[in-house]
Amino acid sequence: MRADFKQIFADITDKSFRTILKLSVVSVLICVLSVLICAPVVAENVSSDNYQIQMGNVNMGAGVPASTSYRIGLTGGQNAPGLYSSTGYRVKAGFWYVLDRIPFAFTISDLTIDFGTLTAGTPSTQTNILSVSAGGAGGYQVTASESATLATTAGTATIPDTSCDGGANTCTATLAKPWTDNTKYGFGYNMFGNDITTDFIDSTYFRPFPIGYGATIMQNSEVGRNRTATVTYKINVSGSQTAGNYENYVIFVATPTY
Amino acid sequence: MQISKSISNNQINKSKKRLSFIIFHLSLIGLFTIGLFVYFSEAAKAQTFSLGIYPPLLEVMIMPGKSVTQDYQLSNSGDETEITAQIVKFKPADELGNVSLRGLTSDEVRPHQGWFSFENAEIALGKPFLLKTGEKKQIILKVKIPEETAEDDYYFTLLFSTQPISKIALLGTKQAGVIGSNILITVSKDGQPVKKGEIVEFRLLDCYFEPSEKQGSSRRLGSYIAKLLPFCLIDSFDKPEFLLRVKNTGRAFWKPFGKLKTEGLLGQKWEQDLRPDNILADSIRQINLATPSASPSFLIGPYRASVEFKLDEDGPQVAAQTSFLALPFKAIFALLTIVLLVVTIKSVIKKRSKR
Repeated sequence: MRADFKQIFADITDKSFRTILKLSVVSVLICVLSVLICAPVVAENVSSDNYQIQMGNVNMGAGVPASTSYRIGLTGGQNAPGLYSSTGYRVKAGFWYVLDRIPFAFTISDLTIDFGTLTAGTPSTQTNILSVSAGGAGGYQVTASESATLATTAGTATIPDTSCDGGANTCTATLAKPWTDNTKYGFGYNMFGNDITTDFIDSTYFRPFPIGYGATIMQNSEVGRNRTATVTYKINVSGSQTAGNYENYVIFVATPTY
Repeated sequence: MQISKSISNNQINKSKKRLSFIIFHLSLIGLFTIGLFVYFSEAAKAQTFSLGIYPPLLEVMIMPGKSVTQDYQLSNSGDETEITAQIVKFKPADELGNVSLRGLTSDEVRPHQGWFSFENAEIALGKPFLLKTGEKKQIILKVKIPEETAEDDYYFTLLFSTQPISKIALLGTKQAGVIGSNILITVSKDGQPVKKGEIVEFRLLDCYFEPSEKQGSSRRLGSYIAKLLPFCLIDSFDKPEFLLRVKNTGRAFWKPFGKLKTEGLLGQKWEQDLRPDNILADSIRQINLATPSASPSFLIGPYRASVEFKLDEDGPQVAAQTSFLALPFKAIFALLTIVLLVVTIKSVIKKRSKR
């Protein structure tokens, strides 16, 4: 038997065997390479080419820029008397004073926040990043809301929204307060970065997500590019919390100013 | 002997075939495993939302019964996703130009939905469509105003939203992103809606001795002094900053086109353009300045600031003015402190030398 295998390996030059072996090795190599190459391509999605100029159907007249950021005193294309009565409409797209015709862009770095397994009385945190480019708009705001409190699929158990440390430090959907007490349970979030609301004084300040309406979390009335803020989600459960998967939806809405 | 060699060769060939068969299947299993790994690593990687929209604002003045179309460019720099278009009404959320959306949740009423449609066959309000990674889609919005529509202003936001990923079970939160572009519509038969407006407040910010309702003895003293003074006091080295709040008292939105001029008794003067932001009907907005302050680095004496603008380029004119006095408080205080310090030191030295 040993002699047989010796003969087989000695006779490895056999054509069909060598072809199969080659094909297998090449296939495996291709797969390994594609895994290695694909990973960095996916990661690049975060950095977008939002600054590429895109022209909509801008029915505006041309104008002389008054500064590098703004242009003042333009005349719209259809302001002349008589034109309105013949066309029946007058349209202006984009901002009068913004020179750049770049899109209003909004990015959320990660759409699933998974806390994994929790330990009672030990808070767990997760983060993602929000980015806004309002270069073609006068300003912007981002609001956040949740579909409901965190609940099991059957809806039989819930994790309440945080009230923070309670007492004088009771937070609301629009006012962040410190949440440092590990005996206070719930789910909330903190904001850190550009254009965040002033109530997020430091990393210990949290708010619960409102249900049904959006609470402002980022805001700027000026033209801005690549404004980023980190959202830190915090969850803390008691020992009596029913085991299971709890989830809800958080909705972030980015709108430009008018 | 020859027979035995032939049998042996047959066995070798059989074993060879068997081995190649095993290797081939092992390779297939390997490929399948790698495929599974790729699939699950795809599922586990962070799903990104990244949408861009242009234009961010659309202003339309239109006759009842007429229609108009507008191209939007929607770009996806995130992961491939299903997008849903919605139109909701908005009203001003604050005095800074932010919107408060109405009808974002499904149980709220969304009026005037029939005014809007898309020229793209695959897109309809509330119907999801696929947008691939890196795709830029031209979306043509059609606005048709019914004949019986009353002459008034109507404000909407065109929203593009994703749905949360529903397949993964987790302990946490699934997220959805929404991006909007505002639409301001004035329905007018003649294209000449009446524009009305007024200046609600025009004053210098950060005055010394400002009237204040806040508690505290220093603030009460400041309020008392402010009542005695006919104008606001600022330090000569401070840059004067103004608060201008404007109200639209009419039924059609307009923009302020004008300037803020400041002039001193000693001939110092400078001016700034007002940023022509939209002032919506029956709302107040704080007006920003389009150009940075060109005020001199040192101000001295009384100054008069006046703001003057037209409601749109061809509308009525509105004006207001305020006065302030610039004095080098900080420098005088520093000088007095130094003089006091020198006098004290001198007197101490004198006393010591007398002893």
